[in-house]
Amino acid sequence: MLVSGRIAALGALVIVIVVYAWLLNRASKGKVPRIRKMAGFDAIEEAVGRATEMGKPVFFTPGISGFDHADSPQTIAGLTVLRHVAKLTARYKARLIAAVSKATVLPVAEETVRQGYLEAGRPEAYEPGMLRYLSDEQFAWAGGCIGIMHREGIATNIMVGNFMGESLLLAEAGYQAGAIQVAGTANRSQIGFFVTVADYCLIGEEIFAAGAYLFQDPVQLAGLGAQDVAKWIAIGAVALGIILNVLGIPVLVNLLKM
Amino acid sequence: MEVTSMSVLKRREVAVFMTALAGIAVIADYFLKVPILNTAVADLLRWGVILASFMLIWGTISMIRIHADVIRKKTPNQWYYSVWLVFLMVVFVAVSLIQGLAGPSSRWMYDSIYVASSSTYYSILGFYMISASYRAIRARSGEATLLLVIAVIIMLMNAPIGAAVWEGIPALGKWIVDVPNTAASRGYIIGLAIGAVILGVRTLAGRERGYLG
Repeated sequence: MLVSGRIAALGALVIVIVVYAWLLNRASKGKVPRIRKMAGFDAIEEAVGRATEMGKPVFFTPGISGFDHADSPQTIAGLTVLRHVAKLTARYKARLIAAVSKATVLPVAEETVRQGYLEAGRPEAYEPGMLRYLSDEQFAWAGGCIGIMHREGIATNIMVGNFMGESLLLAEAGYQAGAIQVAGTANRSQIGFFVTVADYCLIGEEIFAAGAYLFQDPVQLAGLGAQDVAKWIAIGAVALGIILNVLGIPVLVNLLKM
Repeated sequence: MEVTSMSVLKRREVAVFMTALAGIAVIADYFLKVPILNTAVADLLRWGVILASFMLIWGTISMIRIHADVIRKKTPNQWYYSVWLVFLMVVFVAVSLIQGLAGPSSRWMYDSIYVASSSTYYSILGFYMISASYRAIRARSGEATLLLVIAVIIMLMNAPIGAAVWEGIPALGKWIVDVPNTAASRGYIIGLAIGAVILGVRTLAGRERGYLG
């Protein structure tokens, strides 16, 4: 009944769920994990403030992925950041332009921005035109984003989500438009471009901490705690695997192949 | 502060329940070999593809609404681009409806306009890489100096002149790519996978609602 070769993965998933449930229980009792400062998230408020002072728009995009792909967690993380950005643009009265590349993301992004404006106490300031669906095609979307950056003369460029070959195009366009840039992705092959060009960068799994960091939600902080515990378990397994393999006991390797 | 009305709350609970149900079914399908479940999940995924296709209509309506507004207001430096976009969209849809997507005219339009433009965009990357590298790879700090040295070694490894300068460069470059780079990449991937799994668990438990707006 269990698919051969995936039993170890199921075991790992069960461990993660148990650890998360335990930390969630602790969080409900007020024992919330502490979280380190993240310059990338902290810089967003400063970046939105800059746009207000300059009277220019804030541009946001949650990347190229939708919800039907293995990269969808990055899109969800991007939308969480969008909610924070929308709250800030509402509060500071800055103009927001958000561009999505997948039609499935559009209604969710619209609701996200609407919710952000509602939470900031300025629901009347929300306009549907803030959200722009450009294209499902990679370079048509990228070209649309670049066009918006140049034509609108953006002051702030925030990009959090999954980005692929267009990452450097977007980051360079933001640089040429003179925007302060906050960029984050979990895509390993693209993160180097963001580190090189953006003013502030969120590297890899940092983007998944968005909800916990920006909203200080105890439930999400518990999730981050579980992430740390799971990482220590993984590090322990790697170290144990190395020792056992050196000693000629491949028990852990065989276990992981189950 | 969570600001919701009762109807929105109800709607969200339904959405959270459906997400959890679909998510658990797809995960179970990955781990279990149960024909009824496997068939049901395959159907579920097909529904997802069909629903996503319908969302394109929503996206197109939204796009036309925004550009119609720009044209109506004659927004400076923008309205003529919007006219061009709407015109091309109408032409492309009309031609594709008449001939089908594989028809010679729609194929020609796609290959000659979109594919050519995409290739041009992609090729610009070569120039952007140079300008971005020039700004980033300057020995301003210890980390930047390390980046500069490693970048020079890797570039020399990939260029024929590298081995001519010093015969050890290809081996050194390969070691950097195979050992420290691979080790860091694997650590990155493990951390990333755990982060994505936790976000997935939070989503299935209804604790992560970023996808609900």
